[in-house]
Amino acid sequence: MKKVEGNTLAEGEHTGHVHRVQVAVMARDDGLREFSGATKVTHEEHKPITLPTKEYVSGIKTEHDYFLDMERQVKD
Amino acid sequence: MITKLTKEQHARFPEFMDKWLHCACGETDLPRANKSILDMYKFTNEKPPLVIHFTSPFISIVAAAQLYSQLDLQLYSQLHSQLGAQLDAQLDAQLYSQLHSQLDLQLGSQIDLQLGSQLYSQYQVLWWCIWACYYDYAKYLGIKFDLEKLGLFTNFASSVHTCIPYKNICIYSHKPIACHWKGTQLHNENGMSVEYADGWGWYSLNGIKMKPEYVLTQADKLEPDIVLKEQDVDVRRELLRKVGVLRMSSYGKEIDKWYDYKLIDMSPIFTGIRYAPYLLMKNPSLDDTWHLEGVEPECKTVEDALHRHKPEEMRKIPIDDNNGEDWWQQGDVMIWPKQAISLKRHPIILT
Repeated sequence: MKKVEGNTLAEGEHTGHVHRVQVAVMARDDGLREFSGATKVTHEEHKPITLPTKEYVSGIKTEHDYFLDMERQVKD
Repeated sequence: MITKLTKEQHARFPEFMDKWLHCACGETDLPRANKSILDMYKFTNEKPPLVIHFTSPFISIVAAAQLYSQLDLQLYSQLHSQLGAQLDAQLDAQLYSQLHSQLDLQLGSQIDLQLGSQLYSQYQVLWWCIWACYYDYAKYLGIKFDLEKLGLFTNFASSVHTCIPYKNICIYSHKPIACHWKGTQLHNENGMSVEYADGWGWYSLNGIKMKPEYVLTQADKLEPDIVLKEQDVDVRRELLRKVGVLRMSSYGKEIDKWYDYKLIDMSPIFTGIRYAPYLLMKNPSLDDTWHLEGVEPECKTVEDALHRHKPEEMRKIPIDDNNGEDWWQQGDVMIWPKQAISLKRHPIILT
C-alpha cells in the first residue's frame, strides 16, 4: 500500500474538491483506501462527518454507464 | 497575540474577500504590473528582465513554449520558490507568531471554504490573490508585517496575472476583461464565465467548468442523451439542473420511490435497451441539486439501486439492520469499518 498525499480519500477531476481526513491514508492496489483513528471527513461542498476511533476502508460509489454498457466508479 | 475577533472585524471579512476576488479581473495596469515584476526580479537578485505581455494566459503559454528551448528554465523555479518559500513563508511566519492558532485555523478554513480550494480549482491564477487576501485582512486585524515585503507580495498578486518568469525575459498575461460570478462561484448561463480580450476563456455553471455547447445550447434544445452521456457527475448535475429534473424524468418511467430517491427507467432514450434504471436523488448538501446515475439492470427498487451503488468489496458485506456496523457516506465516497462482518442497510450519516 502507498501513502496518499494530502490524506485524500477522493478528488474531483473537474472541481478539484477533495474528500479528506486528518489522519494518514493508504491507497490499496484495488483502488480502495484505508485509514485508522478518530477523524473528521471534510469536503468543500458537503457537511463534515466525524468518525469514531476505528480502522476504516473507503471507496467511491459505482454507476452503470448504459452508453458503454459497463460499470465504473462515479467520476467528478 | 490576537486570540479573538471583534464583531466588527468579523463583519468586514467579506469586504476583503470581495476586493481580492475582483482584483483578478478588469483592465491591467501595465506600468504597475511591469514594476511589480521588476521589483520581484530585484528581490531575487536577478537582472531586470525584458517584460513581454500578452492578452491571455493561452497566448502567453504559446509564446513561452516557442521560447522554451532557447531559455534558461532555472529562473522559473527560482522566482517561484522566492515568492513561495521565502516571501510567502516569511509573511506566514509573521502572521502565525501573532495570530492564535485556533483563530488561524478558523480564519484559514473560512478563506479556504469561501475562496481557497473552491476558487483555486475553478481559477488557479487566483492562488496568490487568495494568500494576499489573508495577509491583507490580517494586517487590518493588527498583525505586524514587514511592510516592504508585504507590499511587494500584494502588489505582485494584485497586478500581475499569469506570469512565466525566465532569466532575462518575463512573460505575463493581461487580466480577463470579464469574470462572471454567482457568489464565489464562476457562473454564466449565456457565455464564458472568464473572458480574455483575445477571445480565449472558459465556461462555467455554478463553479463547474463546462463544454461551451453545454452552456450555449438552450435548455429546451439539450437532448436527454447528452445529459446521460456526460461521464462527470458534477457536469451532469449542472446539465440536469439546466434541462430540469422534471423534464428529464419525463423521458423515463418511474419504477420506485423512497423519500428523495426515485428509480426511473430511462430505456426510452436508448435504442435496443429494454430496461435502463437510473437513480434520481437529491444532493443532501446542496439546495435544489439533483443527481441522476445509472444502476445495474437487475435493480428493481431504490433499495436495490442504493446497494448496487456501493464499491464492490462493500457490496459483498451482508446487510444486518440489527447487528450490522454503522457506515458513512459523503457525496460519492463511502466509508465502512475494515473489520465489519455485516453493515446496516443505510449510512448512519449521509452528507
